Amino acid sequence: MTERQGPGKVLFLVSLFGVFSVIVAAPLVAAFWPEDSSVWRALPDLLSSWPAWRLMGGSLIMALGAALGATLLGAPAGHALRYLSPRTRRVFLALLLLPIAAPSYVMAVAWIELAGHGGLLRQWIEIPLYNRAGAAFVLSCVYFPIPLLATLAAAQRIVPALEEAACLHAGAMRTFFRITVPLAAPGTAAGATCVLLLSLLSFSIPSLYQVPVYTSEIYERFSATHDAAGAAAAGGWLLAWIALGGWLIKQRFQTYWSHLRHAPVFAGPKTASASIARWSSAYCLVLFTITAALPLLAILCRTLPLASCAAAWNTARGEIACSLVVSLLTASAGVVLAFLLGRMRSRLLLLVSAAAFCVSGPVLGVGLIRFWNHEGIRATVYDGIAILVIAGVARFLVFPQIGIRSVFQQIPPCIEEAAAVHGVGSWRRTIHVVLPLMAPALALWWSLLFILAWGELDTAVLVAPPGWTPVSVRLFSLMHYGPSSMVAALSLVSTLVAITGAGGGFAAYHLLRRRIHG
Amino acid sequence: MSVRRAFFAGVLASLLAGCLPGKSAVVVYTALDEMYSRPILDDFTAETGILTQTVYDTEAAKTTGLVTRLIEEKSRPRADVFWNNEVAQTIVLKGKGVLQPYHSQAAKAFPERFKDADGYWTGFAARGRVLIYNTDLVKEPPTTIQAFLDPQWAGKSAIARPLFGTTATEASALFALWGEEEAVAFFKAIKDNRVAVLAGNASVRDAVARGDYAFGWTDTDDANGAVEEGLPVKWLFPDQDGIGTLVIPNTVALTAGAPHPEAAKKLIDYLLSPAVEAKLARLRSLQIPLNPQVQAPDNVPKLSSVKTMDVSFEAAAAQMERAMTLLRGVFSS
Repeated sequence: MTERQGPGKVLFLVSLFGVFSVIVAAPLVAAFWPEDSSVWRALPDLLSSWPAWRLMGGSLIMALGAALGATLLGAPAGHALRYLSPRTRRVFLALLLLPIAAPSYVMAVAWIELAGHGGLLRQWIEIPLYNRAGAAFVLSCVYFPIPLLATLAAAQRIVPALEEAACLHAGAMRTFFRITVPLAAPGTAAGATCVLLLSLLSFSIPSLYQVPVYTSEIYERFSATHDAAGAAAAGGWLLAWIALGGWLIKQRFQTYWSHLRHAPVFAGPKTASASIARWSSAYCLVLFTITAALPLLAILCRTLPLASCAAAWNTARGEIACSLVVSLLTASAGVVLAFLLGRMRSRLLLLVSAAAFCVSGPVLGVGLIRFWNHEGIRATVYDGIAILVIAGVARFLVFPQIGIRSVFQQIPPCIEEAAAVHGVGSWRRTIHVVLPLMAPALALWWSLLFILAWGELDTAVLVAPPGWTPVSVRLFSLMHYGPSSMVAALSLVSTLVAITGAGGGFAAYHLLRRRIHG
Repeated sequence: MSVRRAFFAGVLASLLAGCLPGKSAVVVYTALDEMYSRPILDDFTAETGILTQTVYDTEAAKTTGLVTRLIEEKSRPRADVFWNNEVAQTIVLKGKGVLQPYHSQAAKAFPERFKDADGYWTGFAARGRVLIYNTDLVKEPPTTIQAFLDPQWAGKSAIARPLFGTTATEASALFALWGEEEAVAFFKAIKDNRVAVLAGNASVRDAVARGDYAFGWTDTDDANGAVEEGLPVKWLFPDQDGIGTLVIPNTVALTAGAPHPEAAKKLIDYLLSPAVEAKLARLRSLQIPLNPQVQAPDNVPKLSSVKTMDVSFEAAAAQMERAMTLLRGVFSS
């Protein structure tokens, strides 16, 4: 729908672009463009460094292992959920999303407490975690909800008539493997590729398990040799790899995503029998037990007596309050900004946001310091917790941007056109027509952004103002210095607060969805 | 309605905390473990009424540390005082113009070799680089760091990754003492002898205490912590008949352009006081007092009883960048 842009709207668009620039684009540019252009001089050294290539190869192997493991765990669960009743599906979905809701380093500690040396299961099993395979295994257990959701979304859009027709001539199992799985395969593959990219960017889990990965190269250039230019070059090179992978994904899956966006969601197949539903429930329950219940139980056992939780709360309540305020503000600001940017539908802004996520946290952190640490109004921002909010928005804006942009594209244009015909202006259409329709999606993405902001560590370490330490930084410090019972207790408290905050958003999503759809 | 207003007022206040004039305060960036440094800073606040706002390091977890932050904030420093738990990185900061000289009266009591000649930093409350060994596995403990190269101990010893913290300082000191060629050969031989390279000094302590390794290279505070927990370990100062043991002080320095210079100087004077060294000596970190006037408990080693490595900290810091670049190549896989 086109309409004439008035001066007010032009001013608004310019202001929005300005806000996006100072929050996301300017720090990114500042990270890569120091005054002496040393980043570009460091690039040839990096590209000719055999250890760096070897680290990249090792990281790819670990990421491939994680993607394979996550797919083997998540894809069957995605199919299994389809055979359950809607209520049961919602319950299992909430349980199976727990591993990704908790901060990744908390899950890494949980697995050490469960199956590492001296873990809860040490009498029966000890999984060698401190190697590439161990890191890939834990990454699989943390990220499997991604292929699960992707497979479920794809499977729910399979036309039931196809499966029913196949079942007339072949059994349920043959139908499943010959019809259902291939039709859902693009979704599964897309989810697996997301896990591959996220594992490539992962630092906290490989770091805790002492696995040398490419992201370690970036940290070591900062910490060991204070080579900010080299670290930025290394971050840029990683960004190039991610960009290449992203381009290949887009080429392969673009048509599929367009179909997925507009395809209707069907109820579960009528061919599903009660026994299939029981097996599906059993698989989901076993998966939840292994990937979430047992690791979190191991942390709980380490915190006993529960007075440890009270001690952890008393010790870190300042940090918890700081993280809570920052996460609430980051989620709210991020969703609002993503909503407004979604109206602009600019692919360039989306790519810039993606770059801010893919370039590692410390590189972005240095960029934030270089851009914001100046006299004047920027100093006001830099010296308060506003810098932590900006850091969170800059890092994770890409996720709500992608999701909200996709939802925008599903709103039929005729709804807005009808309002426009009746003389409703652009702003009123946005507030009274578009926003109510998008409210459930906004609540969902608010929850996700809350979880991401709560667990953010890499950038916060560099920009957290004195006296305002996020709980993620405190927890990561305690992992080295503190007694393991305190670490476990704070991990548990941190996970509970993250899940509670996100749970509020999910509850809002369901309420709003019910209001719209009845 | 009033609750909602109070909430938003609180959020607004916290966001603008940077611009509100507050009572007297000093901003400290400290690399010393929070469990040791926080009580000292709290005591300073109680005695002087000056609020301390602290940023603690997460160096051990391999995240980018305070040093990177101080360098990047140089144009508009946020920190007043940098309290480091070692010395080489402090000297690197001096070279990058992040620090300014301050000749504290309290620093006069300290030996010359543990403070900067130009007054940019002062060392206090030191730790030693020691060998920790498991008493169940080792009957005759090694007494020299050359034991890491002994085939008898192949695969049975551990060190922290020599790119961070005091291990990096020791590596730089060896580069300064032996020269680049011999130092690189030493660390390559360590790798060839299957010495485990762990995340940090505490990881070495824990692994040796568990019996995963027979002995390891760590600091006095980590080693003593294991002893006080009743774990089956003991520790010793290596190379007392040879090159000596590296003793690494805490260092305190005033940042160039510090926002609160007067409060910062008071804090530096306080940290260099005999009372603080005595407190740090009594903790399980067993920090060795460098001020001869300080009476430490009997279990704390006396500096005079330890043969220290004869290498200047400035020479070690000068080698640091080159050493870290070479060692990253040695330990990259």
